[in-house]
Amino acid sequence: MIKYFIRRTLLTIPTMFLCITIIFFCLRVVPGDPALIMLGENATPEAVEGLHKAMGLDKPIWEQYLTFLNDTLQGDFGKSIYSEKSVSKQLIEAFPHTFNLALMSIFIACIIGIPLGIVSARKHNTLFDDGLRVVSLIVLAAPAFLVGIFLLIVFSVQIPLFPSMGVGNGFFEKIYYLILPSITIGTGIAAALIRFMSSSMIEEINKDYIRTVRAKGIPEKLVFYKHALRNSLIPVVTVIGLNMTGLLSGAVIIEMIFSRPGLGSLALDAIFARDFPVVQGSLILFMLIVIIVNLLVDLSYSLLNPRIRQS
Amino acid sequence: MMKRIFIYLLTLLFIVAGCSDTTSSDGNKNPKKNEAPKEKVLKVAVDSNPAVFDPYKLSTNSELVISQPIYNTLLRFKTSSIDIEDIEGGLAEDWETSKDGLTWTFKLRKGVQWHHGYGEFTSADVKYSIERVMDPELGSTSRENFKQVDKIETPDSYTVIIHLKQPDPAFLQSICGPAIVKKEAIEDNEKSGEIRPIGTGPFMFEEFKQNEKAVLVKNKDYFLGEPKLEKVEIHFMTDLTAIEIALKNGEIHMGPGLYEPAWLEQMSKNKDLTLDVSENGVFWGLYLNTSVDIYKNMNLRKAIAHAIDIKKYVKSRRLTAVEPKSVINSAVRGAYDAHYQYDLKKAKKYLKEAGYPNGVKLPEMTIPNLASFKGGAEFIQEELRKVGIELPLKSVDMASWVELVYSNQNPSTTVGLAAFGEAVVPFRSMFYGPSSMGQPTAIYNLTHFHEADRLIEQAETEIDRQKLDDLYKQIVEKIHDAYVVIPYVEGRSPLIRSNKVDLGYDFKSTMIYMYYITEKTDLK
Repeated sequence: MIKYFIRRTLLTIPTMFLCITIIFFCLRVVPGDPALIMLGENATPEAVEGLHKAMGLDKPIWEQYLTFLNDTLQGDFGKSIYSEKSVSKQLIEAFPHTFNLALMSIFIACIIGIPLGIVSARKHNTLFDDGLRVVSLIVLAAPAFLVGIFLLIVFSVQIPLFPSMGVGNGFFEKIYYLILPSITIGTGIAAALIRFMSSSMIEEINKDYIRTVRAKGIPEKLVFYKHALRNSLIPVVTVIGLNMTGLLSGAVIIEMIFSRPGLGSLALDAIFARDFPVVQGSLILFMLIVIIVNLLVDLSYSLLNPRIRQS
Repeated sequence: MMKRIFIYLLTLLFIVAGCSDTTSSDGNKNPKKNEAPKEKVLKVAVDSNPAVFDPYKLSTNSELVISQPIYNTLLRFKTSSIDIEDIEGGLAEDWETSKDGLTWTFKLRKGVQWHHGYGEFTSADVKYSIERVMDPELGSTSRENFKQVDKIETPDSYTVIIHLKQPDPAFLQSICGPAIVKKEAIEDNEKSGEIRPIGTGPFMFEEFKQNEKAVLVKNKDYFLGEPKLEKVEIHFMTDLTAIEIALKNGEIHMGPGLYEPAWLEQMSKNKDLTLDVSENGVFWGLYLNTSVDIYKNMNLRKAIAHAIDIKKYVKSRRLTAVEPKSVINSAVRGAYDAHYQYDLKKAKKYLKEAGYPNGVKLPEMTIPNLASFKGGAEFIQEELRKVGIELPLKSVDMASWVELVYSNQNPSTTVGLAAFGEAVVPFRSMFYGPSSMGQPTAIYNLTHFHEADRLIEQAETEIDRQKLDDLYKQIVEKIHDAYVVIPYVEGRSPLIRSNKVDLGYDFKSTMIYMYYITEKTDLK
């Protein structure tokens, strides 16, 4: 297990180096000059040159790359070329908001998706199962921004139960402010989880070892919840892992609709403004998140299924 | 197994809260659920995130909205006015100019205090601020306005004398631009890397939360009187639907409006809200780059100008648009009447004379991927199609478009520009030969028009009102006769506010795309 973990971790080093290099050069290839954006219609060549110097963009590209690489290895992502604020500080400020949203959404997705998926499997090919399939397909097809606006109009304007914007203070208020955005994201993931959970469960139920368990006269509840559930969770964990990485980097629409700060909005603004250090910092953080979550998903497989650990 | 899953999920919920940034604050509970706040806190929504806090580098409206109540200028336009006649004292109580227009003397207010204990405001601060704007290394967006400044003298703590190299008819309005800053505060911010703007305005900077909000608190010692509001919160809400919902919900008090007719109609019927439309606007035109071969053809330019039914477009925009009056923004002093008549017969005739009797396909026009650009460009595309002119469109993100324009690679473009004050300023940046894109002295001449260079040079140093106005007339005529810019709309910015807000002044216009917040602004 430890060997496996060390080997997987070491493998991430060349991946990270390659990603960091690609991130740096891709940004330089994309058209758009931050100095021109900042100066607008007053961008005289002299003023542009002055800003380039101030931003460090007047140096040769290889020099910029080496500085960037050296700083990144030391955990220093530099300063925003606009606000001159430390990128690390900006990421540290934005990360908890997106992380909370992602976790809460996964929580909601799990409490809806896993039980309904199990029930759907148990009542396979019944009216309930068919109805649930239709509902999950509708939810899956509905874009998150539409669900978000719908929830806002219903539960914030028409029935004023929840706030439409902000992040709140303290434990309970933060949870309270997270409810609508998390339901928006969570229901979409829940719909996918229902389908995955159900089909995975049905597959497990039809396997030989379950037939053997049943032949032993074990009660049906135990067959489902003790023997089949554990193995059928493997693909579900994969789906959760994939959604988690997607959520951390792609919650931007929800952050916009609910006027929440977060990594998505930070990165998006920086991309439009060609704020290279912020974009680089955000992308490196996303990259680390993807690598870590993938690692955790792999490790959780071995926890759920000892055979994977042994192999 | 189910028990274990439940425990995992419960742990997840606690992690959510455990990972929360405890310093994060909002206070925007649904007011319908909560009691009215004890403090008078004005909540403003802006549709962009600020990145820059240096008052000399501001460009987005959120940056302007944050900085407006913090800083003061030497002179200023009366709140909500853009009329040159309405210029009044700001940090300067009085001012005078020599007969030759080369020397400007400003008498400063005494006893004005900088925020957060930075001491008393003096003439040294004015000298530092203007010299800072002029510093090419800073890259200030206002630097061009001070190119005529020769030297600045401060004979005592309350007098500033500015000597110009040449008379400048726009100097008075230029001096209304740059915020006066404190050297020590700028240096402290540079050293610490913290965001902490220090000004002399009615509100002081308290805190900034990335992508969330900025909070300002009242400056009790403000020289024009203690502000009525305790705090101002500026929320960054990039989704306009979210702003609308928060406004209706009472979670914010003011915000930007949408240009959509249906939205405007709906808002104007809402009894809890007031819809305002700024008198000044953004002048939108189709700019034809005459350095590109096809647009050197005057008859083709004429055909394009006469093929666009401006009235139809303006009508479709309802409240937020008026017909353009001149070749520049109508709020500008010197925007004399000049427009092109919509006449398809004429357009076809000119197209034939241009050598394209069977129509023509123009080079692709690249525009930013924004609704404000797209609406007009697509309308023009349809109008031109009627006479057999095909205008292919391509949209890219703003940064790519800016680079394309500055490298003179866009054969034509639509663009909206806000301007006020003396016309010589936009004339010089947009219709002066050396300001043409792609040149070392480029400013923003998108068309490469240069036929009025001599007149613009004369206007730049003309301080006789009558002579200056005559020059403006001639310049407008020349631009009009060259058919390089086809004006199609003057957009008016819609703003929306709760009826609880008492602005403390009559709203007419705004240059920050938001209501001005002053010491008199209040919540009922």
